[in-house]
Amino acid sequence: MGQPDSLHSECTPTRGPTTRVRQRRRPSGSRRRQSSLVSAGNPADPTLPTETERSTGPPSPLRPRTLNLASFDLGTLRRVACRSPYGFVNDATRCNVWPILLLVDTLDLDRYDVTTHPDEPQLGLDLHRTHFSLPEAQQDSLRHILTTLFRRNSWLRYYQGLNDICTVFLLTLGPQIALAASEHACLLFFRDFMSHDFSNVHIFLGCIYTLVQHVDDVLYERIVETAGLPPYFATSWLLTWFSHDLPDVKLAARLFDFFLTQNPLMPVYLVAALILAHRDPLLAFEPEFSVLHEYLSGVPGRLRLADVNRLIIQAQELWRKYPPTRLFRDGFHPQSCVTTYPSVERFLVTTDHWTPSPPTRGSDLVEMGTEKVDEGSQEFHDLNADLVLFTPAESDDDAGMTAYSETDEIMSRREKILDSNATTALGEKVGSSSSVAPTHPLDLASNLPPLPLATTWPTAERRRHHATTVGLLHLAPAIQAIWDQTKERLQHYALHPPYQPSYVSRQALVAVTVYAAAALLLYLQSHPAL
Amino acid sequence: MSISRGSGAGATKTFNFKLVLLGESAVGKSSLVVRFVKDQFDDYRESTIGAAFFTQVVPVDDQTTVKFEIWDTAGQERYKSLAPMYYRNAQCAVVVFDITQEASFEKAKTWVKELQRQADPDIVIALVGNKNDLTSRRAVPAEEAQAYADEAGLLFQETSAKTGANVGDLFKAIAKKMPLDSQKHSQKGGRTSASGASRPSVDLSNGGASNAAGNCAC
Repeated sequence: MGQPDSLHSECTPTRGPTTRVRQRRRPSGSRRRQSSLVSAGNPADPTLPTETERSTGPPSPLRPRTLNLASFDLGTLRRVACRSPYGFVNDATRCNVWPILLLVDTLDLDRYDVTTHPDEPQLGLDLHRTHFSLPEAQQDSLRHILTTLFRRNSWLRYYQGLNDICTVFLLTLGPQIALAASEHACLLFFRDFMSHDFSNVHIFLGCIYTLVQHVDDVLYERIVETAGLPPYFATSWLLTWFSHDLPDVKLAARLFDFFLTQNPLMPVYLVAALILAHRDPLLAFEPEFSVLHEYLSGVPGRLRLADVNRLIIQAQELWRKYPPTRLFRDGFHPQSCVTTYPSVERFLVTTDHWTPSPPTRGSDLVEMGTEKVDEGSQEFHDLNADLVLFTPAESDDDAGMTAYSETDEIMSRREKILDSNATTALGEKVGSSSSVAPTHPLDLASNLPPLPLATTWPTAERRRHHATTVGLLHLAPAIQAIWDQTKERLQHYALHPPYQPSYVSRQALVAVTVYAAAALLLYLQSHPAL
Repeated sequence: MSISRGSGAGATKTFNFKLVLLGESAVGKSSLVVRFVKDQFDDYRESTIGAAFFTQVVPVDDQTTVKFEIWDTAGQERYKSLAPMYYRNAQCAVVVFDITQEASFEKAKTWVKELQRQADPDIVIALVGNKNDLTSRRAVPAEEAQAYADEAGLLFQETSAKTGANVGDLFKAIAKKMPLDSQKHSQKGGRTSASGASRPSVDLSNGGASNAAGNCAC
């Protein structure tokens, strides 16, 4: 279909006003109050562009200007992110949708902080070195986001590239939402890369070639066996979701639209799609490590919107044809974000996010299609067709993730081992001065039968079973601490008017719970000596 | 900087060498290589993630030019596990520190030790104190660095990627120190443009998806 090649001509109109508005203020402290997620259309909210700022012309009667969020679910958002040429179209919509996908509640409360984080000197070095350059005023916001993020989650380690990710959130969502969005993105999507070393990055990088080999073994032979090309050209692509490489932040936001609706493993599929899309030149080049590395490294910088859209479709196709359940049979570590993401999916699918909190009732509409699109063009019709035809009915898109191949037997074996590991860990390691170097916790359970990835849509029964038998309760002190913090957080909701308990959305409560779960996982990852 | 590119006239021989840049974050590795390759400097330079690849040709004499294939690596400590891939087959290494940051000099020493332990035993190592336009903020005396370089058998140069000072000289000095006698050269596993490429081996054993439970050795 005739998608536009130039991103600038189509996507930039909203940038001016939104950026201008955002520069007016930055968060003054970690406690923020905002109206509910679904209030972006409310002109009283100073962080968001008003109706007149956003519109670039008189509304077209042909164009669906608003979509009722009540009709959305994860499947719908996925289809929009995948098939709409502009993803979620504009930053105003992203301010609504991204926080939902990231389980961000706009109530942001004081949480335990450490006074400093060991990675702060490195943060300081990288504030001025983001791929998308930031005006000085926004560098302060970036500093605030990064330091707050790491002080709140002291077990996370910073890697170069997170500055680029947070920059996309900052430029797209504005400083207030960006903080929470960045934090949750780290917890839900990037935490595998944020442990003490990069061993998990190697696992992701390895998956790229596994996939390429399955799809096209001739290409694989050539670039891997003959040229000896390591997959390191994709390091920044995976670590930053291409935000270190793409030519335009709008393009990065469009790609984030897609990734935020998908399992954290999806970027691997997109990278593979990119490699496969360059099959001909890759085969034509001299099979030389440096030549191929240089060529591939340059590709993202030349991508345009149409290319990105094509890659998204192809990545989705690859996921369907080669689902991770089939391709990576050994599965991922039970604490990997790849493995735990299905619970986020489950939450997004089953929860009624769209019930607005009482104070903002009536504004649960999201602006769509306010970008300047030539109405005679094919892409305009495609866009409209997409928006009109989205129905949350049969979700064939998710077929790849629904297969539930794990047997109960494996499950219970795993749980027994986990159980005994946990007991052993607490009982023996505390007092012993073991000379064994600390192992990365994702390496710890290598004696476990692998956990298949296909844990999307687990049955309620299975979830209950799993929760009660995993045996994590043996790690009482750590869990107790996190639980206390969670309770404290929950109490805030009741204590701080106007957020009376009845106003607190279920989403907020579950977000806290998911946060606590993520915190626990990270805690376990960072304290293998337990 | 004045690097005249070899025109390849007559019997000019070109030798290819793989060069890797190492050093702490924000000491100016990328700026140095961009100054060398493009003769440019920009105050704004994004941090390197993974590694970037460059090539540049240095004429040594009328008959000989050296073509450097340069791997510019990320400086942050946690990217270190990727570094061996780049220095494993390198014939030369440039270890950079910032003359205004004492800690970056200590870090440079640990890189030198790692190279001497892990890399090709005949690797040519140059120690570079960058940012010598900032002499008022100097924290590492040139004599101290020179003494260390002499003791460890390294080339030493202070440079400024910003002004371009000594950058050309640095790479010229490295080129001159490379084993250009072709027989000796080929014994060392290097290669000339005529002899085809020696393939770096790739060890993906710690990247295999089948290995999701870990056992990464890096």
